[in-house]
Amino acid sequence: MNLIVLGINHKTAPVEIREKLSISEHLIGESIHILEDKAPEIKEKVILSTCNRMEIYARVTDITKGVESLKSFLCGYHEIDRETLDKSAYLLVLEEAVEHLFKVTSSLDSMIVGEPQILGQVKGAYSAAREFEATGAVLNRLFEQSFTVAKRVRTETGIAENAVSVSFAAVELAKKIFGDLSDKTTLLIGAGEMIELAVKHLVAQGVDTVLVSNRTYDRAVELATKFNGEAVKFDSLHEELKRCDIVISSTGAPHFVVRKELAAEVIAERHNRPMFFIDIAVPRDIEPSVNEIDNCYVYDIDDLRNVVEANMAEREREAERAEEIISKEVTEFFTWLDHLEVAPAITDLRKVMEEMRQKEVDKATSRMPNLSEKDRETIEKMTSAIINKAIHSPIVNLKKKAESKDGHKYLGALRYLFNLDK
Amino acid sequence: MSALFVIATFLYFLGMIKYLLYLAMRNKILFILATIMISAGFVVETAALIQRSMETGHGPYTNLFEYCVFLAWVVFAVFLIAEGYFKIKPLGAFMVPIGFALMMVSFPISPDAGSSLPAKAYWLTLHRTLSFLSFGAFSLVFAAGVMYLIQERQLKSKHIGGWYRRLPSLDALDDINRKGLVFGFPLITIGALAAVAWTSHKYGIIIKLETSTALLLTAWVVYAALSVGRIALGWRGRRTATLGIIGFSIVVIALIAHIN
Repeated sequence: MNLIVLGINHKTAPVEIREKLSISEHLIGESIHILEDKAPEIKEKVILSTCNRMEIYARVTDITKGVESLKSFLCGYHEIDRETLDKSAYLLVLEEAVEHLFKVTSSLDSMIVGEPQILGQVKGAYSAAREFEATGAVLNRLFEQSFTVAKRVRTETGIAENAVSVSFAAVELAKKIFGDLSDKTTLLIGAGEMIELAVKHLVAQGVDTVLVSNRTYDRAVELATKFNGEAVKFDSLHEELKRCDIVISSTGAPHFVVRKELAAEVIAERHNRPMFFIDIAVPRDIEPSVNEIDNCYVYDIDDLRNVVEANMAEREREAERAEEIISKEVTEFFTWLDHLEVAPAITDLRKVMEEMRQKEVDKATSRMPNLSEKDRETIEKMTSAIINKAIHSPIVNLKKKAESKDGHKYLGALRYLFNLDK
Repeated sequence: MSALFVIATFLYFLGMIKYLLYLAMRNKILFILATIMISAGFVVETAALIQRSMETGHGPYTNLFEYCVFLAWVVFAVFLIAEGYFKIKPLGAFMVPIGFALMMVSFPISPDAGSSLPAKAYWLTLHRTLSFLSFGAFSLVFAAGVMYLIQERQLKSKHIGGWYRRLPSLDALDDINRKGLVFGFPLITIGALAAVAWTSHKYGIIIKLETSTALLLTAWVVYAALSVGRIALGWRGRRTATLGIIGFSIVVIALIAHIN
């Protein structure tokens, strides 16, 4: 049994090559049919094509032949020369191939470790392959298990826990300060594009009210309608700040818009209800010493970037824990796979038969005290011949069926009928 | 000392270790095991306390040994309720050690030492019961306060580390401070009044001023200031967390003074 994966990804190939080799969703069926016609040694296949990778997972009868067929298919189908493909493609076999798939689905191999989209993409690729009946027992089991692995990694490690973009980091910080964001009010000072992006995530997390304050009132109204919010006058900043929990500021002002004295007054008027200032303006809008006031938290753009960096590092650490899980799962998969192998099944069958024969011969000969050595030999030979004849055609037929799609059913039946697993 | 107390202490110990490991590794299985261990320890200790009360004929609050094990019991009771109610997983790592320490302190103390105070007296029993219950509430306020200060430091310093990820939001921790106080302050106040009622009835004086009494009075003042500050002046956050820690520390010092 040979499992291989041939592919390219964002680490081995630039986008010019990735886009050439990608196989879009509606062409998957066609590609599978071509492979079926041209490469009978490829028994099962799944084509995974995303913007960061193009990989073909396959069970082949012969590795060299299989790889050759895959490569010539890719070159022919995409009209690229063999040299370019060889330069950027990687080939992984057996354990390495399985480990690779588990890493891909668990998002350890992604550009941003822990990003959640890849699992859905692998699921899509697998169900497409199933739809065109390109998979069998081995790849079915492999992919199903890879989904379980991804789930385990997600729940047992913190790999996807921490925000790795500036705007998500801001949301995460807000949650660590306020807990629930749904009854919170956000004030936007300035109405640029940057600020729009930042508030989008907060609104998605349930922030209730959005107020927009801008020097040009019309632009404030425009942005406010986008978020179902309310435009407020730029001059009434002090009044508006009082009812705001989160303040995102991004004006082009050359001086501080919120000074420490103002923040101190506001926080006292708010009876110390906390305030979170997100300052994405350069030069900064919020005086940094506002952070020294109790219950005030100020994060500027660099602070947010540092949080993202710390989170990235944390994901890397968690990725190491995830690899432990994966290596255990790889072992488990191969234990299962061994059960599918014909040779060990036949050995087991012979062993069971031989034990049975030996036991019966001993039992019989012990009742025949006058048996000569020669007679005894004859009995041994005869009984051996009987079992060999008896299991001959099952073995031949099993070997014949083993490589077919439902070979595992015959193997399973054999193991079950003869109690080979005991 | 009853074997049940030893078994309970051992279970508390296992639970404590699991909570600490959970804090380090964040493996949910450890958390579930920890809660099971503490619940089991709590059941065993409850049985131990009932058994002892039946033997002595009075509640477990007459001598120093009984103070310790009963206070521990209250801490675990409040902890188990709080964990279920607030659903804050790291709480165990901060609160369970308090209860466990009380169990350990009880070990070298003779369980049969007599007490200068009567075992059965209406006002005294009321005082003891209420004060003990308030101790449980204040240990919760203390644990939440410690977590608050750590989390606040993380957010203020902008050095986002493991604590930031593990501890809950400041709002949730401040909420525990408020609720713990709403529960604990009336208890300690009525408890103190009951003590005054008893001393005046027995000795004809309002208060018998010893070191531990003076300390407990100070703690009451701290909690009173905290309650008034919260309700009337809008105190919250770091200040209330710090006062919660100070108040409980004074109570613990009073307890140590009492032991010596």
